[in-house]
Amino acid sequence: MGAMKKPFLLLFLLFVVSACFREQPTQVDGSLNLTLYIKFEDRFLKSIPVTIKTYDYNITSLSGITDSGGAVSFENIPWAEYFITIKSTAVVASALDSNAMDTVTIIASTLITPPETSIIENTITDTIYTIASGAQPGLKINELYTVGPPNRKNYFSDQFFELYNSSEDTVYLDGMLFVRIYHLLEWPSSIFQFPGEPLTGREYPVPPGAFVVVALDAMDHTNIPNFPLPESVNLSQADWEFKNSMDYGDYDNPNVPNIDNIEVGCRIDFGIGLTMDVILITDGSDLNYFDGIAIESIIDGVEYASFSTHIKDVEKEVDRGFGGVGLIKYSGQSLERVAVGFDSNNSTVDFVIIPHPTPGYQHE
Amino acid sequence: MKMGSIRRYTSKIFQYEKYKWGHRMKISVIEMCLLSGMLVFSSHLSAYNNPLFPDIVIEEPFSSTIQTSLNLYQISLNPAVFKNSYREDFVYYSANSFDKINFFRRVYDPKRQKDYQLYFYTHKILDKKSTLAAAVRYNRTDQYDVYRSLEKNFYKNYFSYIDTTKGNVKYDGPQLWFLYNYSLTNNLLLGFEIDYGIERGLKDVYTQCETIIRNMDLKFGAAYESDNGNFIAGASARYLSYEGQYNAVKELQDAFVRTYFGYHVFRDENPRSLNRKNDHKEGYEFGAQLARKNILTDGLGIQLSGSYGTSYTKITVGSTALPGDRGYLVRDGFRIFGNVFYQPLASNLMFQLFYEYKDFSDWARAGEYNVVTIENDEIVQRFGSVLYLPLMKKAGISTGFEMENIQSDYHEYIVKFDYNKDHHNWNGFADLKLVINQITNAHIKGTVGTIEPWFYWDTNSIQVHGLECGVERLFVFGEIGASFQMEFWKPSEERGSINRYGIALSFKK
Repeated sequence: MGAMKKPFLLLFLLFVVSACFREQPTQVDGSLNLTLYIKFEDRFLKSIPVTIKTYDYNITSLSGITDSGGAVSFENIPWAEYFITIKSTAVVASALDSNAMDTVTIIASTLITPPETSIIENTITDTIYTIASGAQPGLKINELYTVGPPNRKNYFSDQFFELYNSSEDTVYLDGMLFVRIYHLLEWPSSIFQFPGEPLTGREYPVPPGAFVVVALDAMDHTNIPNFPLPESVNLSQADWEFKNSMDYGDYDNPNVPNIDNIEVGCRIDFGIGLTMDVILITDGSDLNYFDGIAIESIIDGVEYASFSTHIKDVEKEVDRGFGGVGLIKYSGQSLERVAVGFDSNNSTVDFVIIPHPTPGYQHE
Repeated sequence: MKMGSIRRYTSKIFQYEKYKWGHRMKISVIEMCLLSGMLVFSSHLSAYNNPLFPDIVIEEPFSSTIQTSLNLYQISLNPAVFKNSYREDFVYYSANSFDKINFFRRVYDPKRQKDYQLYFYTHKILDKKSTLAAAVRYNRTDQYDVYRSLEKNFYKNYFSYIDTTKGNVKYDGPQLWFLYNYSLTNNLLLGFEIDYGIERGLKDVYTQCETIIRNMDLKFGAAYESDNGNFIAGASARYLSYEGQYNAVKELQDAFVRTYFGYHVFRDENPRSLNRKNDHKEGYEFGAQLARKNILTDGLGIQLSGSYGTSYTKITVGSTALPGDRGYLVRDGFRIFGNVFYQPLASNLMFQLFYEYKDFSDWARAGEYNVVTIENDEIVQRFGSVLYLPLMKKAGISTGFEMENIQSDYHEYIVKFDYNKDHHNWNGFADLKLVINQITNAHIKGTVGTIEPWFYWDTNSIQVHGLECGVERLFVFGEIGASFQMEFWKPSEERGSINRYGIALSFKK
């Protein structure tokens, strides 16, 4: 009996030893298949270049073009985390006229990690939703209050703009421009600049999720001596104030930092149409406004007009539509994004008219 | 480099045999066994690197007219059969130095390497039943102009660590070896062996990587020996453990390192103030062996040994708090070794034929994803012979020849790479042993061979030539020896060579 135990003991020992080791995987590397469907709004896009890159290994990025079904496949690639980037032009239905087509720049970027997405055998299938260029998270013009309060004296000095940082990173206002466009980017008509060095300055941060109120005149407009305007707004606590240093009569709140004019020869305050205009914020990298505003420098742009038959004043790459249809002068109405920071680069759908301005917070 | 059986070209400790001529025409059995034991120890004292299936070295002692064949312990590494090779107390000291200049080298090899070794060995019969052996060794290796590699041998690993600078690296540390052999009964032998080594390395420039390696090898064995000693059979088990830690540190900028997966693909690790790589390996090997001597006639014998082994290595890289999995490697396989020898007691003639068959497989995954990234299957077949002929009263010649075939089937899958090749290696030697006078021996040995190396050598073949010469003199207090060695490895294309010079001093009694 003792002799019989020995082979069993040896087998047991081998079993225990082998159990300490992991099993050999059944698949080899370099067998992953990745299929991506590229969409813009509800449509699959064809002929769109897609680039995938992994930082797990020192291998070159791979590129492909979507087919007629909007799909692009990458076969027999290493198992790794991939960073997907898309930037291209696409012909899509116009935001203003469903019978017309617009050419827009679309972008997308996302990360795909094999264990986290659905895998059938060794294939990952995923859909990438692209957005129009300019719609990505960042500093947004969230609210425009331009029509003025109810009054019979054509008072509209309580205009303001509200900015919002919809990204996850702190952005810096240093050197950014506030620009009013007369017609297309070639014709800026009012240009004011935040202080500081454009692109590299770090003195004026806007944390993620923060609002910035930029007032024409940073004062309490509801409590003007001998001119009460209860339906106006109190902007004495605004974050910034437009102040043309060459306009000696312009109100200047000493407790609020100024955004100054940079347009040579301009001696008036920042002016904007009550019910129709185009407003941009740029990163300040293009200060040569004589040849227009470089589209690459635009951070956000909003066009608004109170009538639906308005003919667009700015390029569709900046704003595919225009908001504010139905705005009434001297009504106290304001134009704000439907949700804080929401941006599809189409102001027709991005903005809604609210009955009363909400400086520094989102309407409910 | 996958050298197969060309062991003599690896770092080794020179061995000296005690020889007395004039008074005696032949060496006693005791002395033969003693010398065999010394050879055994020198071949397996490698605690810095304890691979699965350690190489079986066909060492020839020089400065002697005696040539002994392999013994069962050398083939099987079963500590229970060590006693058969040892009959007297013995003490041995040695100091060695090697200088290797790589005029021809692989990308991550040092331009020059100097090795220094001090070692002390002894074995003692405690009583009729117990034998004790021990050794202490101190190793130092200086590598110069190492391009980026933070590994002692970049090509020995599938997952290697590199930085971005060229520098010099110094490694040093002690090794301890201990063996205990006990006769439970007249026929039943037990043995226990432990091999333990620690090594520390430091690079002189950023990232100033510090390497700490700990190696341990445990062996248990049992054997049965017949009453007349002509038959012995045994079984053994081995446990090996290896721990390597590589710490690359910040100097003005965060430590930037890369991890290789195979030999073609790497990953840039996130720069940190301390980037650490950890290698953890464990393995087991089980073997059985038997030997029979004086078959049909005096001096004719046969030895057989077989073993199965498996090991795993886990590699992590990154921060010390949360390291990332980078690799998991498994090796398993088996080996069979057979040796037929003829060494009659009445003569100094010795002849042996040996054959080895080794088959192992590696697979590795890269850590985060459950897919195989590297596979390697290897079959090694080695065949050789050694002949010792006493020529005259004061001379003898030992000659040997060895052929090896290595079938390699290597695959990388991250970026597809396949390497399938049969390597044909051979080597031969001739060793002339002379008796100068009653107390002085000398020898001169020449070797020649060809190796077909792996793809990362970027050459089809390497020609090897070597020359050794040595002298030994007997004093009242013991025997002192000195030797000098030269080796030249030359690739088939004219692109420089690898030159290796060694000098050794020894003392034994």
